[in-house]
Amino acid sequence: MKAALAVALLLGSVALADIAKPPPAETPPPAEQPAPPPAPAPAAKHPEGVEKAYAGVIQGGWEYVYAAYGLGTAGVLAYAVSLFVRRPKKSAA
Amino acid sequence: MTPILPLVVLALVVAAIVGHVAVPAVRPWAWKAVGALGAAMLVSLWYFGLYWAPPEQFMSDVGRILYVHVPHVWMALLAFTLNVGCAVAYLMKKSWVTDALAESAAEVGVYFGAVGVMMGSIWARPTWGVWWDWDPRLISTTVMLLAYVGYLALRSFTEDPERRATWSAAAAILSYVSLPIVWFSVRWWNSLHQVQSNPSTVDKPMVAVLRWGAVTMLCFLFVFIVKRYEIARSRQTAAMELPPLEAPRAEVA
Repeated sequence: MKAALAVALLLGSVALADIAKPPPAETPPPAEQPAPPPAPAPAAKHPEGVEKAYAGVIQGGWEYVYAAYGLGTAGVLAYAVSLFVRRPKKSAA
Repeated sequence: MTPILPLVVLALVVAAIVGHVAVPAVRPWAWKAVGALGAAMLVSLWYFGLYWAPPEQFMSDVGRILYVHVPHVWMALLAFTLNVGCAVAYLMKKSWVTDALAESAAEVGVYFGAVGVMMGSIWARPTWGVWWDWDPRLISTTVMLLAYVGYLALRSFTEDPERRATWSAAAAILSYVSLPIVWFSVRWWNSLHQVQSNPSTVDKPMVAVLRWGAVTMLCFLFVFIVKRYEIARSRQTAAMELPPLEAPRAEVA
């Protein structure tokens, strides 16, 4: 009887040892969190009062536009003058 | 633009020029009428291009250069195509008319091409940040223009009219090889220059103004070619009438 009780105690202690909570393992230090994204830049304001402008839209530049149109017109006039200057001379007869 | 439209436009221009050359009755007034129409359309192009057309989505008002830059380059390509057509026609059947037309088309093409490249340079400054870049489209266009400048130089350096016509016809065919390279350069290589636009992806008012600009430049293309043709023909006539050069005298011993 004593032997059976001893065996039961032994088995019980082994069972309790199995279900006992293991000692906590050393947890690694938490990784550094990435920096939060920067706040979006405020929307560009169009000089003519348009509330929202697309990012990357060219502002101004009228001097280039006038230069291109002026070049085209001046070129037509200049080439026309060159043709007039080189026009074939009519014979006196 | 549908692929057939440039060919239709080219056919119309060729028909108008040939009609002007072949029908003496229209010569005194046709170029004046077309020139006056071109001048009126040019004035209205300033209004349509600068104020009526909407600003481009990303280039804003700088995108208005499109309406003068692109028609100039189109006219250059049309003139060079007319040049090579006349060169081939001359080689098939020798004619002073096709030779003079080839010379006229080449010079007018160089004019339109040079102005178009200068306009492109002006456009590049605010959009790309530089006046010039060694980009495939820009390089191929420069090479094409230099080839036609060489064509004109060859014509001016050659004294004999028949030899000049034959050599320059061959040079015209060689120079024309650069044209498809210019056209497809934006598709074949990684280019800063945008690819050809499609009317289905462009606002309708922008397409309308672009076509207005193209018709305006077509008027000037016609006038310039027919007037330059008259100069070329008079030079041919003068060259034929010149007496042969005096034979070198034998040196007296």
